[in-house]
Amino acid sequence: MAGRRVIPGFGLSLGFTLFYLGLLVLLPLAALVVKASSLGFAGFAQVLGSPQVQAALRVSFVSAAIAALGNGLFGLLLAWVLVRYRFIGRRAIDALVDLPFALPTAVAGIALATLYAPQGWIGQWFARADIQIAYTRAGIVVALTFVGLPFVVRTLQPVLLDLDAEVEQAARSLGASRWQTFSRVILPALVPALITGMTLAFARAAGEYGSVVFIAGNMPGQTEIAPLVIMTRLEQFDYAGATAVGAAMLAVSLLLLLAVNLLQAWTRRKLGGA
Amino acid sequence: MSIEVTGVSRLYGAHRALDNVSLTVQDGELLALLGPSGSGKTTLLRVMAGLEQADAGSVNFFGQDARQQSLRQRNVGFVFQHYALFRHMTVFENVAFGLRVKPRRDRPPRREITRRVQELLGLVQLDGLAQRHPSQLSGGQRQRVALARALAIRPRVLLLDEPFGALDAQVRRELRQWLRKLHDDIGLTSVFVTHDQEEALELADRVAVVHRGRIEQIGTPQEVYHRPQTPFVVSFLGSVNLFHGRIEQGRPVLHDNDGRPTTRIFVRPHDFEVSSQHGPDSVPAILELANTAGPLARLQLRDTKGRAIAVELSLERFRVMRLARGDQLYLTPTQAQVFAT
Amino acid sequence: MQGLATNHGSAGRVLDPGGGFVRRGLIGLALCFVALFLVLPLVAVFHGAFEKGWRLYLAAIAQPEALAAVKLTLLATAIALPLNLLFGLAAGWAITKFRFRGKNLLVALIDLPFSVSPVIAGLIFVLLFGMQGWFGPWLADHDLRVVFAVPGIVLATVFVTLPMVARALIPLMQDQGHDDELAALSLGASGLQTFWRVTLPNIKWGLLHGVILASARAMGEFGAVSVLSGHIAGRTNTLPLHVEALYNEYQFAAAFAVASLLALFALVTLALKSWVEYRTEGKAS
Repeated sequence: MAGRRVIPGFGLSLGFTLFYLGLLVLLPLAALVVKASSLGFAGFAQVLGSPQVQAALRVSFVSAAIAALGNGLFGLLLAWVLVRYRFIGRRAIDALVDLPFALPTAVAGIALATLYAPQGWIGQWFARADIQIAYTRAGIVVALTFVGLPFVVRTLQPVLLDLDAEVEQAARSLGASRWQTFSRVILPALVPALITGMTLAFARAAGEYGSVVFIAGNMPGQTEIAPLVIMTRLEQFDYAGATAVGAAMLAVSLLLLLAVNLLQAWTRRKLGGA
Repeated sequence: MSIEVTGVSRLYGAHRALDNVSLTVQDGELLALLGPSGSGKTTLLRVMAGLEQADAGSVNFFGQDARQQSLRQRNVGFVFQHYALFRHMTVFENVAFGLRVKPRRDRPPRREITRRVQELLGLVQLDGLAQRHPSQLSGGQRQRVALARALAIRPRVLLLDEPFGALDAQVRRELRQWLRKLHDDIGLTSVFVTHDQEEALELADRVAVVHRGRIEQIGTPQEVYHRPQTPFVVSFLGSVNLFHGRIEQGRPVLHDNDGRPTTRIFVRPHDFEVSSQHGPDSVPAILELANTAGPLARLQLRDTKGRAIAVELSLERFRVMRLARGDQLYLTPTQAQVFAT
Repeated sequence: MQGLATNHGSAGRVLDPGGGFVRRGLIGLALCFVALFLVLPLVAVFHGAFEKGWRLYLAAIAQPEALAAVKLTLLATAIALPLNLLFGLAAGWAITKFRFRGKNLLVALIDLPFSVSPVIAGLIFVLLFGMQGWFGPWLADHDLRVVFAVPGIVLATVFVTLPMVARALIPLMQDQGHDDELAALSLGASGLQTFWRVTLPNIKWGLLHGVILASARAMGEFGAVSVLSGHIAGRTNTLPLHVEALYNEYQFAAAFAVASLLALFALVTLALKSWVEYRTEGKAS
């Protein structure tokens, strides 16, 4: 609320911010946009129309969607337990939730690949039931679930903390059962945050590379993810192909980001009006 | 003239927080800016301090155009509503801050700083608490640290934003008297913002009543209370009953049932003569409720048109009259404020 | 915060009288999930690292290529971190202390690098600085290399960690408002004095939080760096790239040995992060 000139440093701080962002974010992204538009519709259609690229996009987005759903479920469970219950080790677990953020994706990738390989600690149990996880799409989903977990937990936690305990007490005093209180009073209040968290997890998972390449089989058309397609095209110096796939993925992520922002604005308005 | 505000306006988007306000603060006075929340009183104070820029108009600071001066040059002691104490500093460091950040040539030597801070802490009665952090203090103590911090730079004026707003009633009253005494002792020109009319009337030399970005009236507490110039001032300074009536032969007549043009007549609850006998210009009303738990008997009556009227009587008079619920009474205003409709 | 916590403790009790079956079931389920999904991969890393014994472990870490990778990783972090720290402070100051048009757009732009796939982050710098890129010919003329060289790795690291400090600071500084700064200025402090003596101490924990997260991400970045690195062992491999190289050469024990360094660092990050959060919660109550 202070006037423009009361606190010093406006020009300097905003100037540096814009310069830095422009140089490191806008200029490079502009390069992508310009390159992509130089391909023309035909160029795009040619790259994106190839069965291999389509399959890769499908694998990435479908696996990311399944992983986001899993994250929604487990994220809700973890956030609930961490906020509502006091038990030994709660703080440690709370800290561990961020492990997928902190652990380099390559490390996560080789660890998961080793665990879920047919002779790995977890994989061997599935192997007995003749189910293979590593090097299949199931493996991709496992890695993406790992990567996206913190998003849902971290968006849900503050909302759960903020929930007015009296509202629940009111529901209970009005005769609602424990399950009714949860499903009719608590869950509806959590839905916007849950969707936000799942969308963020989805966006991250769709673009994820490091933790997936080791556990995915990388079989073109079957277990090859879209970022890997970009990677291989770049290695073959096929910049047009890499750009087309990259631009398509970026467009989807930006749309998702926009959706999340709109959802959050809508929630704020709704709650503000209540 | 310490501060002269001339034609100042301040806009927040489409909202006019200050609308062509002019105001002069006299040397050595304690001036209250009184108004409801959102009236613009805090904005006015912040514009005076230089915490905010006016969109139009000028602020003159001891004969200098304040627009040319940055906040740090104005030498204003400002006490924030929530104190804005520096959390990571002790009480001592907070008070010493303004002395330590002075350019080297103006900065007092270390021993002098210590002496001044201790003197100020003595003044605000916090001698033993120099090494505490703000989080270890009560609200009233924080308030006094903020005051000592503002005084440390020997400001030309002291500006206080809702100085007692965040305190509970008991501490509020004590601090209020203490602040008045402090002002009398050091004689520093001071302006404070409040929404509490009792506080403004009790504490200030002059009161400026602010409403919708304008100053409705400015004057001594006696003036604004007894000779309010606008309907808003009457209704904001204490409770009041509104009648539509006329002035006949210099006396207010509270009837409006004969279709002739009327004016608005405001009568304070304690400005009624209450009688069980019909008088020449009296208003009949039925006693509905009487609350005697206090220094005065507070009555609620209803006139023949079903409008509620609040009346205050001395407890003694209330007992003598032996009033009871349902009694028919007659009210004659002894004093009233009249405004054309 | 403590008030909040007790509040919710009691809310939990209301929902769950006698602390019974549901509570234990949910906690149990959550613990199983955490054990299986978060703890086990960590255990696998350290198990893999020491499977072939201490000697091999030390040898893997002491390899010249590994040491070079450590050096390069630290170099990239040491460049990216201060730059993004400066950026975070400037952005936080501009966004939280002033009102201006387009602020929301600016905040969204700052977040942009988070929503870009790491591989795309690499790609855009290839498009700028690669041989066919905008500046490629100019760089070639002047005998400068960005792509497949150290500058590219540094750029990628700066890009992926760009929002982290700013994001840690902006909500915190927004909450704190600017009364403290105004108070300091009204007491005669200069802009710089206000920043050093008042603002910085107020945000130091948030700053630390951002720095911890940014350095973890900077050291662990894989996708973007992988695009821009030439994968030359001992020259353009960061630690995560070195892990990949070893793994792909079936030197699993060595790969896990190097990975264990990164995992250890991740654990330290988490511990520091929760310590910082614990400190700030304590301060707030």
